[in-house]
Amino acid sequence: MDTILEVKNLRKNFKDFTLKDICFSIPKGFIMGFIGPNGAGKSTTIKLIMNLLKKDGGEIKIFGLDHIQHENEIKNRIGFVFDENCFYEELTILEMKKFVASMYKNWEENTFTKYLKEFQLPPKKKIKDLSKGMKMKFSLAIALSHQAELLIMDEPTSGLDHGARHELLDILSYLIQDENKGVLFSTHITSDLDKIADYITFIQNGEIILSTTKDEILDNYAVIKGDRNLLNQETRKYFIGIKENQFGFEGLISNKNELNRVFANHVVIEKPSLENIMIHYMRGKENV
Amino acid sequence: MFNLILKDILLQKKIIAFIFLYAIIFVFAFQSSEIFGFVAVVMAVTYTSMNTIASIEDKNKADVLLNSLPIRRKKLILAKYISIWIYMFMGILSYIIVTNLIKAFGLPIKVFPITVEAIMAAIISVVLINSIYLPVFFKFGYTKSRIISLILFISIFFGISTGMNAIGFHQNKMISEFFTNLSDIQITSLTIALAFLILLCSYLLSLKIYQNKEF
Repeated sequence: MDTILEVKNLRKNFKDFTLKDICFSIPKGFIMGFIGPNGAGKSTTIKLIMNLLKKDGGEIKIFGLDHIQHENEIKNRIGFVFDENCFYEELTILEMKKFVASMYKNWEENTFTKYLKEFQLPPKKKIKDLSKGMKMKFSLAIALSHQAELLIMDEPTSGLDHGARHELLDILSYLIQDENKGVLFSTHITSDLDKIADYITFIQNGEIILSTTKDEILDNYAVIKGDRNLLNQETRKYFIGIKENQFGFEGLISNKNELNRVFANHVVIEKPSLENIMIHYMRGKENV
Repeated sequence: MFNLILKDILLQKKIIAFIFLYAIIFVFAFQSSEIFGFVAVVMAVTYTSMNTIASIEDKNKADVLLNSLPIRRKKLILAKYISIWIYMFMGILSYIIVTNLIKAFGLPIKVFPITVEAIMAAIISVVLINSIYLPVFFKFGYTKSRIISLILFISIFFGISTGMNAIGFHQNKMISEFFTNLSDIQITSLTIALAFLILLCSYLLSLKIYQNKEF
């Protein structure tokens, strides 16, 4: 299987934060959800991939090419959508498009016009007068009009209302039908990914906690609920995170198959959401 | 490259009107100091343009956009250095337009034709200011380097006026003789060569700073 993005032992040291030798890869034709709490290292990783930050170690390969040696060629094939609007607020959509288009080798004016209509973007409006959702759609229109093969999106849904979020997710799932494309989608709102992501990479405190297919996660992990007296030193070991209250406990385990052996039929088993998984990892067993 | 420079001009199209305002103010203010009004116009136009664009780019966090697009960092830097000449040209043009309008309407304001020395003085001042300012700007960003650019502008502004007075009024024989013994072509080629040498050093320094910059 061809990989479109490969990150190997990527390291970056800051005064108060370190990205610790992280590894993950995205195969062609898939959407990778990049999740983790705020400050976990998602944006740092994305900035390192875009060479906006300089890495201290490791390797990043995009389309099989080193991301610094072939920086220009790679950036011609990448579309980016960032959380904060990064376009010149004073320019109109058309003026901004004209500048950006002149930088890309493979710009397709017809495609841009098509998306402009589809997203109902007013070409003569200044970017500062656009709503957050429209700014995101403009970024997306730019990203899609130069035939980007890899879309890198840093928190594209943050600040969007429900409707705009769903629109974005629909566009992405349509887009990924092209098997040569790939998407890296960072978010702290995991419900965005429940529907559309094929792979999940979960980062916390600069470390990758897990990186695998979403199905594998959902097949193996389970949220279990039961009576508190089921918890003892032995059984607690199986949990990634446990929440207890006076009535009982709720915990996350990573190996569903062990479940029957340990708890027999005394517990309720639920399919976890990505949210459950992220929160239990963050909580850990500190309450134990 | 052309598009990078065009974008800078497009971003500050509003201040084009100010360029003429500067020309009017300085032509009026420096009626007694011959060509100094011209140098002042070119300096002020270039200074304002460079600063306006820096503040707009800072506000928009333009470095993130520009460095996410397929543009080499080398080109971004080079575009800034080329745009200095464009702003200088705009300054010269505005001086020509304003002085000709004054003459055409027969207004009671003394105007002076542009001389080779005046153009050279303008080039040297503008090049000096920006060659010091740009590396500082690329290193520390707009907010922190703003004060440096103002200090540079003021000191070179007065430095040049003092220097030109010294030459103009023959207070310093050596310098004035040196200049009067040179032909216009010699002065021009010397100045341009010096300007390019300074710009080249400054460009290389800016490039080194910007290549390693993080956003």
